[in-house]
Amino acid sequence: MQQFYKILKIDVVNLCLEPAFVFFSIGFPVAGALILGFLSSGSYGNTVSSYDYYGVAVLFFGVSNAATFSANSFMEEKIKSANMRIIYSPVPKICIYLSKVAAAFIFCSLSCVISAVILHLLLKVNYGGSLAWGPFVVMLCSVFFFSAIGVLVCCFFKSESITNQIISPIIALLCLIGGVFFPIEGFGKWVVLASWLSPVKWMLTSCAEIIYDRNFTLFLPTVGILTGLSILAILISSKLFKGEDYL
Amino acid sequence: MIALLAVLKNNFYRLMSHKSRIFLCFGLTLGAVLASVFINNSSVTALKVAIVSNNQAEIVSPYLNITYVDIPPSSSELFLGKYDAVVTYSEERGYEVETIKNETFKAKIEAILKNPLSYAPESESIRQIGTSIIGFLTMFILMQGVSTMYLFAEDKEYAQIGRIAVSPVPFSDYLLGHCVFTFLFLLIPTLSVVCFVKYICRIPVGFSFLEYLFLLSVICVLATAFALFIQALIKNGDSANMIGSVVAVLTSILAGSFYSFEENNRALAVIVNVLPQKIFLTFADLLEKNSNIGVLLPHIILLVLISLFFFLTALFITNKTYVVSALRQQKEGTCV
Repeated sequence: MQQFYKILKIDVVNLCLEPAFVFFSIGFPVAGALILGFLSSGSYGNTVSSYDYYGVAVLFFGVSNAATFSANSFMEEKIKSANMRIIYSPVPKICIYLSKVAAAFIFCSLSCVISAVILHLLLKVNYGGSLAWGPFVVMLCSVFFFSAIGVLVCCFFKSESITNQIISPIIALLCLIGGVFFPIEGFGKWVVLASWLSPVKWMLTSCAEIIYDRNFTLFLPTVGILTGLSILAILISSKLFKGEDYL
Repeated sequence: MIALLAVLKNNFYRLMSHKSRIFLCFGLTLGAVLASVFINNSSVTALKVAIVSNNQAEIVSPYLNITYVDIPPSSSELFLGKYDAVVTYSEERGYEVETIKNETFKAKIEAILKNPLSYAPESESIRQIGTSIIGFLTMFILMQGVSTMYLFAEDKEYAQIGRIAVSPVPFSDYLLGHCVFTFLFLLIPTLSVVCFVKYICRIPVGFSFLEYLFLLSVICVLATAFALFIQALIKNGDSANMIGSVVAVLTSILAGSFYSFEENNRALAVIVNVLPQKIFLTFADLLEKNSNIGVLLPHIILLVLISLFFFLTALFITNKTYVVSALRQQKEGTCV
C-alpha cells in the first residue's frame, strides 16, 4: 500500500507538472462550452440557455479525454524506464498500471470540477442546484471508466504511438454520437438507437434527467454499468500486462 | 531531392515494423466513411413536435414530425433535443407551444399548426451526401494527420533531428520528406476505402472518383501541413498529438463539418468563415452543385496558401530550434 501510494504520488505530480496537460484539461472544456454555446446562443430561449447544454455536454468531452491522460502517463518515454525499474523491483506489478488509472482519475476529476465551477460562475450553467451531487457522481464514474479504458488500450497495443492513433478518433466518435457537440436526438430513429452504444450518451442523458426532471431512474444503472466496465477493463489489463514485452 | 527520397524510404521501413498501424488506419477510415453514410442517410429535416391531446384531428405537414402523447414529455427530453417543441391543445385556448428555443422558432411552429397546408418555409440550402461525407472525413483526416506525424515526433524525441541538422542535408528536404510520407499515408487508405464503398458496396457517395481524388488530396495536404505545424510548435510529441487532435475536433465542429450551426452571431461568423475547414466545405458544396471554375478557384488558392503558411512557419520554427542552435553549438565546440 505504501509503495502504491508513493508511485501514485509521483504519477499525479508528473501529470500536474506538464503545463500542456493542465492547460488542456481545464482550458479546453471551458473554451469549448464558451465557443459552442456562444455560437448557438441565438437559437435558444429564456428557460434553458445554450450554455446550459454545452456546459454539461462539453464537460463530458473533457471527461473522455481521461483516456488520453492515462495512456500518456502509462506509456510516455520518460516514464517507461522508471516503470522498467519498478518491474524488476519487489513491488507488485499491479501498482504500475493501477497507479496510472488512479493518477489520471485524480487529475481529471480535479480539472473537471474546476472547469465546472468556472463555467457555473462565469455562465451560470445549471448543474442541478442542490442535486448537483448526482451529475458529479456520474462524472466521477465516467472519469474512472475512461482512465481504465486508456490503460487497457495501452496494454493491448503495447505502443504509445498506436494508442494515440486509435484513442483520439474513438473518443471523438463516442462524443459525436453521444451528442456532445450537437443534440443527436434530432436525427433519425436509427442514429438515435446507435447513439445508445456510446457510454457518453448514457452519461449525458442521466445527467440531463437529474438536472431537469429531478429523476434518478438512469442514475444507478449508469453508475453501476460504468463501474462494472471499469473494473472489467482493469482485470483485462492485468491479464494483458506482461512486464517483459513492455519495451 | 535524394534526401527526400531517403527520408521516404526510411519512414516506409519504420512503418513496416508496425504493420498493425496500417490495418488500424484502414479500419478507422472505413468506420468513419460508413458512419458518415449512415448518419447522413437517416438525418431528419422535419421539426419534432409532441402533441398532448386526446381528441382532435390529425395535422399533416411535411415540415413536422408529430408524435401524439398522453403525458407531456419531460424537460430533459426537450433539453436533449428529442422534441423541438411540446404542443398542448385545448378547446378554449387552442394550441399552446412550449419550447426551449427562441421566439422566432415558437412563432414558426405556431404558424405551421394554424395553417399546415399553406406554410412554406424559407428555402434552406441542404447539404448533399458527397459534402456530408467529405465533412466527416475532414475532421478524421486532420486527426489522423497529427498522429501520423509520429515519425517526425520520434525524430525529435530521440534527438535524431539534431544529427540531421548538422549534416549537409537541406532541412527543407528533410521536412518535405516527412510531409510527402504523411500525405501518402493519409491519401491512399482514404481513397481506397471511398472507392471500396463506391464501387464494391455500391453505396452512393456523391462525387466521382476524380473529384474525390482531388478533394481528398487537398484536405490531405492541409492535414499534413497542419500536423507539421503543430509538431513544430509544441516540442513534446505527446502534448502536440493531444492538442493537435483536440484543435482539429473543435475547429471542424465549428466549421460545421457535421452540423451547421445557425449563424446568429456576426462576429463569430467571420471567425468561422476563415477556418480552413469551412473554406474547404464550401468548396466541396459548390463542386457538388456544379459551379463553374471561376467560383471554385479562389477557394483552392486560399487553401493552398494556408497550407503553405503552415509549412513555411514549421520550417522557420524547426530551423530556428534545431539547425541554428546546433550550428552555434558546433562553433562554440560544445557537443549536442
